[in-house]
Amino acid sequence: MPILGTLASSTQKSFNSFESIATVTVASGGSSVIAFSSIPSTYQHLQLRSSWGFENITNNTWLNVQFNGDSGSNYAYHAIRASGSSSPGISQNFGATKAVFGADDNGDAVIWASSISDILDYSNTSKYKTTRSLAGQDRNGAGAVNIWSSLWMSTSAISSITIIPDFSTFRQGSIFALYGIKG
Amino acid sequence: MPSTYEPIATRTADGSTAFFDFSSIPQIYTDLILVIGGSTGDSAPFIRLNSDTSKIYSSTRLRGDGSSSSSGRRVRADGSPNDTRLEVGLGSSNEIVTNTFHLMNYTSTTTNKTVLCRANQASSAVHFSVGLYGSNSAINAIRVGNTNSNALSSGTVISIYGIKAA
Repeated sequence: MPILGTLASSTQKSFNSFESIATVTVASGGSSVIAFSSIPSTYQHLQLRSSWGFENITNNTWLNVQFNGDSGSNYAYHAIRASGSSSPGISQNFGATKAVFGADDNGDAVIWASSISDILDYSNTSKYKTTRSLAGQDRNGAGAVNIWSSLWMSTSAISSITIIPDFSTFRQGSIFALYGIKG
Repeated sequence: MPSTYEPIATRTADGSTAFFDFSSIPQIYTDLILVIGGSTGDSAPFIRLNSDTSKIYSSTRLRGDGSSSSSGRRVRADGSPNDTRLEVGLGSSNEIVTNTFHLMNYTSTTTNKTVLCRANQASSAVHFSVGLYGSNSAINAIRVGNTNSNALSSGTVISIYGIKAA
C-alpha cells in the first residue's frame, strides 16, 4: 500500500513469522471474560495485544489471566508501576491464582488502557511458562504505566487463555488479538 | 493463519532534515509499530499525529538509569511544546538509541489513542512511557522529528509496520 513521501513502499513484503491466530472484540453489552481456546502449538511464542476499557470502576482493576483453566495457586508475578510520582511502586505475589497482563484504574469511556504481552515458549512441556507485559493508560495528569512479569508453574503446553478482570466488565469494542510467532 | 506485521514505510535520515512526515497511512491494520533506530540528533524524538497541533497530548513515563528509578508526567496546556506532540522517547547525538512506539487501535473513531513507547539508550537509561492523543480521530499521518527542531542524524532509520488482527 503506497504511502506518500516514502521510498520503500514499493518493496514491502510480509514477514511470515508473525501470524494472527484469533481476535475477540467485545460486543454490545460488554463482557466479563475473554477466552481463547484450542490455541495451536505450532508457534514458538504468543503475543497478546489488547486495547480495552472497563465499565463503571472507581478502583484499580487488573487484567488477570489464567492458562488452561487453571485457577490454582500456581502463578507468580512481579510488576513495577509508575503514576507520575518520583517513586515507582511495585507489586509481587508468589502463589497467586492468576498471571497479570496490565491494569486500569479508572474505567474512562474513551481513554482506554493498552497492553502487549509475550507468552514465551508456551508449548514447551519441560519448563514453566513466563510472560512479560508492557501496559499503560495516560489520562492527562492521571493513569499509570506498568511492566509485568508473570510465571505459570506448569509444564503443560498452553492451549487456552482466559482473561478475567478483578471486577467490572470490558466495554464494547475492546479488542484482544492473539498472534503466533514462529521460531 | 494469516501472516501480518507488514512494513508500511521506511525513511533514512541524511543529516539535513529535522522531521519526516508519513501520510496516507492505510486504515487496514489493528495496530501500528513505529521504530526509530539511530542517533536522533541533539535531543529526543517526538511524534505528532494527524498534523494536529492542538494541546491534546499527554504522557506518563517510567525510567531507570542504573542507580535509581523515577516517574514523571507531561500534561496538556502546560505551556511547553510537549503538549502539542508526544515526547515519550529517548535521544542522543552520539549514540545509537532505539525507540519503539506502539500505536494501539489507531483506526478507532470512538476512543482516544494510546501509544506505548519503549526506549533504550545504553549509556544512559531505559524508558517505558504511555502517551495519550486526546482525539477520537483515526490516525492517518505521523510526523517524526527532533524536539529541538535540529536535524535527525544521518543514518537514523524510521520504519512503520502494520499488524492486522484476523
